Amino acid sequence: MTETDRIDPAERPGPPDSSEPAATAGAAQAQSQFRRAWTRFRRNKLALASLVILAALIVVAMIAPLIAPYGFEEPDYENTLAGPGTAGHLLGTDLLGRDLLSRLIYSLRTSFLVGFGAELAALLVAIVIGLMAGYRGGRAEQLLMAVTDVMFAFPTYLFAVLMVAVLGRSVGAVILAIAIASWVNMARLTRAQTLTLMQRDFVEAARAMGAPGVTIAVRYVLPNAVGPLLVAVSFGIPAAITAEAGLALLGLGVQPPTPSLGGMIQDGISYVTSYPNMLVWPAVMLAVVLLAFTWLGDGIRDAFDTTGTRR
Amino acid sequence: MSDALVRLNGVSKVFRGRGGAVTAVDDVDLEVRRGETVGLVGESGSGKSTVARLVMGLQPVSAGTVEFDGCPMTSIKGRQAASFRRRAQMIFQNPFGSLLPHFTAAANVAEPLRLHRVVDAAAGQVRARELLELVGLPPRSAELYPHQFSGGQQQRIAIARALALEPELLVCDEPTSALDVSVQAQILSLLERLKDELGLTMLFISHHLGVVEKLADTVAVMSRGRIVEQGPAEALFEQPRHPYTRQLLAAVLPVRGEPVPLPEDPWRPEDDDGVRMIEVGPGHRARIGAAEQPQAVR
Amino acid sequence: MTADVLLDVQELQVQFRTERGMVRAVDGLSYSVARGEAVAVVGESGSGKSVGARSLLGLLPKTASITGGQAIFDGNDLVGMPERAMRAIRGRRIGMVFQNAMEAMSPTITLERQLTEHLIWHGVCSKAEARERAIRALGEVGIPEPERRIRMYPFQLSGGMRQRAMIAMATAIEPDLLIADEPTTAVDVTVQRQILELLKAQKERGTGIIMITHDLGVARFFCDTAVVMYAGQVVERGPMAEFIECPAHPYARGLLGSTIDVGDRHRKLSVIPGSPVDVANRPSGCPFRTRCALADADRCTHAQSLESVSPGRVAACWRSHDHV
Repeated sequence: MTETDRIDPAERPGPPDSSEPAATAGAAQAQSQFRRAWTRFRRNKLALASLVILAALIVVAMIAPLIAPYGFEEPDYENTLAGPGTAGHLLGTDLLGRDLLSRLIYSLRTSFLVGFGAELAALLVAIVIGLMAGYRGGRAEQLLMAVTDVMFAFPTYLFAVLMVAVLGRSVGAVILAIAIASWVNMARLTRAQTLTLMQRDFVEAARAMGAPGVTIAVRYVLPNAVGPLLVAVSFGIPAAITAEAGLALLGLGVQPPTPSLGGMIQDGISYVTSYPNMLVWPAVMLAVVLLAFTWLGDGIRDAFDTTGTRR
Repeated sequence: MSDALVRLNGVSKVFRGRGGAVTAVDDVDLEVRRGETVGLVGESGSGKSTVARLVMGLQPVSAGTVEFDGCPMTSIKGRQAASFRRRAQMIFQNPFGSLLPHFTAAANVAEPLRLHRVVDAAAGQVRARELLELVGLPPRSAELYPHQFSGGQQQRIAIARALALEPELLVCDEPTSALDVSVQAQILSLLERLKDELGLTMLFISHHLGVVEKLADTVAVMSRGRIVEQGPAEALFEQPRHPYTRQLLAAVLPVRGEPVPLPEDPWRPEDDDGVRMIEVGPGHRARIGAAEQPQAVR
Repeated sequence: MTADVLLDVQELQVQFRTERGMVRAVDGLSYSVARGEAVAVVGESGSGKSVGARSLLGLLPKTASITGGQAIFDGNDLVGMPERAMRAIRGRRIGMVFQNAMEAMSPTITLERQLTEHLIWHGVCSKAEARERAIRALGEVGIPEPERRIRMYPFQLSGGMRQRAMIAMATAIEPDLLIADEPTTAVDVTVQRQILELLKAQKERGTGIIMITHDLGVARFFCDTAVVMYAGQVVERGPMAEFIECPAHPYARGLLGSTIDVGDRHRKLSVIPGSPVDVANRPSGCPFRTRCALADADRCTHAQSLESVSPGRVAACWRSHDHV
């Protein structure tokens, strides 16, 4: 195992953290891979802050109807294009007099729904196909390779655009379009991880123990690929959110009046010179979300980095 | 009749790769009797680890047969295969790598019991703790993960796991090679003790001649896929008959006693081509027979 | 004797910066190497045997630093030596042989360049002469057809052949001192013997050798002096023959008793209980006391200094006199 921090490779045939052997350490605590990762993750203040911010935003998105001062399509004809700080409209209103803060909260909800939904759907498909392709080879591998070739020949965006054109612009359709466009890379990652893990001795040991292939793949191999997959997901979610925004700019995002960050940005762009307020809020929110996910992903990657011995 | 638990008859293994075919194991005959420990020694590339994998059925043979308890392994299918799996277990050179990293020590040891549905989960946990105690680990180690143990302790867990199903055969592939000298002695003592207490039958593979001599009743020396000499450990180490065995023994640098000078003219594997195994003592055979003469009468 | 001393290491301390704070990987390492002498630094995982030697050449990761002691080589202290001066010594006057030749050789460069470049860098000889010397060095380490093989890449050679080529690389420049870090651990016994014979020839030419090994058989065969390390500290130091005959420190005795020779079939193994102690959680006082059968609660919790047990021999145990 076990081997990039080259303190002294010749002298460390043991595991990375053999410095606390159970027999000598007084009350050694059980350390599962998640507990270990969490211990490392906590030290990364930036990642921790990002996690807190994202968690807060997710809560806000989930309870949107409870905390949004207005509905997302509720017009206030008295106050159209109001500036920030207008009485009753903290962030102002758009040209129909809809409250920007409320719309921002609801659009966060849509964007998270699209981001998480698309990534989870992609992840599920990717795990099944990637694991089969990596462990078994055969049909699953041929399929994955063929699909990959096709996907690489198409720009991902173009693919998503085509999908939306076919499926329509409901939230579900947008999720599906982005999921279909993004599962292939995740599946390739799963396959690569599986192939690497298959080289590990515990796979042969499991075969010697008499474990069937499915058990080895699902129970032994897959849990050890969780770290890299989690990293991929944490980078994939902001990518999906960005993809939705991109579609929105082409007028192919989630159907109005349901607000999404992309949709709000698109609305705002039309008035950017006369009324930048409409663009600034969603753009800032998008930036915050993307940055937080990026830092979170970095943190997870470092936390699961099993190659570094990190004494 | 015969008390052979494992018998290899003319077993060969050929690996085909881009660089052409490589014969890893070449026409090997070997027998492991019940209650006996057979040591297999050789240098890297001698094919000794491949023999272990063929015996475990982890790889198919290219030619010849491997019999387990009188039953040819190629014919073992389906349910029989599962029962064979319970009867032969293996420990590996790299203990950390061979344990499941995301399972606790107890879960690792209980996993074979779960796989073969021998006992329910609760009983499995109890049994796992008993086994961990048997191999000399403190009770509190049960809930720790493999990375929290030293190399020697990991190998103890691997041994406990291999013993969980009470196998008739234990195949050990270089079980002490990755360990420190002081820990190697611990693991060997443990295996010696288990061998006596449980009456284990073992196929013990190592490049370390002293270790094999210490543990094995019968020894086979391999070079380039062929067995060049085999016999009772005492006879083989005291009166080695094959030049390669002698050369290996001479190359070992003892801590006590004087090193022996290396032979002037080293033996080459090609020297053995066409040479037969002959009986040189009771149960002691070496590949030093004259080349087979063409039959005079056809 | 003293005139012949090549390297004199005194109270060397090396620390690693880790997540759990500073760890003293080497804590007070002292020994000297004379011309034509081979010193074995013996120990198990985490004993600091390799760190101690590598630190002399500045071959440690960035997290490590030498925090004390000195290492006088030819009148100059290697500790704290500026990088420029160190470069003039490293590879020129002190050579290094690694456990794995792949660590020392670049996979994309032919043997010729690997073997001649440093001769040219150090201004030892001209390019043409360097090539000739390299071919001669390859021949001397027993590589057949050196003229042809010098054009090969490291991966085109077998493991044993690579190991020899690395020795040729380290010795072609005729260094005064050679540090060999587990040079035979990755090779088979027959090749091990050949490699040790090669190093022996170097030694007979007057090269001082530091051999870092976990294998007491190798140490005994090759070296004149034994330095036994445990958890970053020297527990015993002295002439090899006397050390093998009657080790003074309980750890050294246990290590020797744990070593298995051919012919040990009926010898009862003496087993040291427990696992080797890592430098990161070294107990106070004698580092070995947690595994020592002779440990005494009063005396062993105090640091043990190296005391003379017989002329030229020291051991860090208050009971070592009982055994010599």
